[in-house]
Amino acid sequence: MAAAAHLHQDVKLHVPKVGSRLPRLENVRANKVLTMLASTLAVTLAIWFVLSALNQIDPISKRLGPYDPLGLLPRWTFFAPHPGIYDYHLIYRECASLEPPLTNPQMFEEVKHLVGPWTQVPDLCPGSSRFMLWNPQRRVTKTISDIVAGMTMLRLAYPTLGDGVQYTTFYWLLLHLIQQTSQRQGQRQFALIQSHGFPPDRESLVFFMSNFHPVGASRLR
Amino acid sequence: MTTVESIWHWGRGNFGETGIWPWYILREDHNPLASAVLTPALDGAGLLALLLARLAAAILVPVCYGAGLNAGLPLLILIVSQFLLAWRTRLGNEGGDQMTNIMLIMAFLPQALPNEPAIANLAALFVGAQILLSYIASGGAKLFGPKWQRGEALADIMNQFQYGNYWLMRQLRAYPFVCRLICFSVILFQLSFPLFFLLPAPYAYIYIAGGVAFHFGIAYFMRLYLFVLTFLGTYPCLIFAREAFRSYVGL
Repeated sequence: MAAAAHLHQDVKLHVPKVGSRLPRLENVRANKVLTMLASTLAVTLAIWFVLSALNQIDPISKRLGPYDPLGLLPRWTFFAPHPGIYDYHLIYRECASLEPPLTNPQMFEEVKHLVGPWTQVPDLCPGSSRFMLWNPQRRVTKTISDIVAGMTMLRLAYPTLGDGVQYTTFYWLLLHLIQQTSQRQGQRQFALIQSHGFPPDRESLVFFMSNFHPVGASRLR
Repeated sequence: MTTVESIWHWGRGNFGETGIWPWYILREDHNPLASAVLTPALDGAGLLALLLARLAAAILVPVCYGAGLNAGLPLLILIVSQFLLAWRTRLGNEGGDQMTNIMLIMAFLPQALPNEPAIANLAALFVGAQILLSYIASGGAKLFGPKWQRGEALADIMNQFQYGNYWLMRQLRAYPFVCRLICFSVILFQLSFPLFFLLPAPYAYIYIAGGVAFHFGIAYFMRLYLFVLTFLGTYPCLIFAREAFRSYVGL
């Protein structure tokens, strides 16, 4: 658009309808402006493509990541070299009492009789959609997978992170999700379970377990 | 399609304070000033307005093309809203969204500069190149995966709720040779994709048929239908890139 405006100022031309092809240009200077644009775009796209190709290599991708906030450099290595083969389930259990605050395992032993069973958050469960052409729920289950991936990266980058994970948005999101299951006051603990396979041959293990947090009366906000 | 999905999620409250993508938590990962400035468009009624504008723009694009009008403005709305939504949500995005971003930008450029036919050609060539890169990178990465090397990867991928299919998993476990054959065929198809540019027609179009089957298979068994729309939607650019390449090298 800017090029067309510039063209209109410099030369006396019939300005064509938007979208139609230009007639043969009489002014060489105008032609050079447009050719420069095409050349600039060609160089830009070539650089973009080279960076895209380099971004397929893991170590380079990690270096380029901070400089690509818009995510313009694609990663095409889907399900490779290590395919995603796990389902992740968010479960929680609840202690009916707000006192004492369950900040260590000894306290848990005292109120064990008040702690309910582990319960799965149903809306986040990966499920087999019957519809090939309509599966928006996949983005919800993908969110949980992305949280797991994010927490894994944090563990690798900061091996001594420990309870510091409670100050990440990944942790806050999971805590927020279990808070939505009920307005009852109490203390809740959540866990992420990693599973592979279909019942009855499904294999599961605990990927992460949180501390107990007061919910209901005192919320995150 | 992604806009319709987003509106569906908005209706279910997934973007709200009790949903899976609550802005009051997600904004903590972003620059405070940017979050403050963009909050009106990324939360509540403002977000719905953004999604509806996006839907209107998505409908307008083919209408403009059909009527011979410039589709630059609706495409720009789609591009800006796409990046805003990805920035806001950050989680739950998938690989097909990357190709959507590229397609939108490449569709916008010729509309923004309609008086330069070379722009459209360059945009189409870029898309064709990205498709080629996607297949080679994907196939190359599989070569380094132990499960792919053993021909077990597909059975394992099918053995999950999220992207799997119980029936196909049972068949692949019952017939491991078939599983190995499919795994190696996928790798061979992807790594040999450059042959699409070198082989004469009609042999080259085996790759188009293979790509259609590949993406429809992913859509059916893994319920990842976005790849059908985004990747197969780029095949005209791929065919254009092939013709341009063959013309350039004299094939």
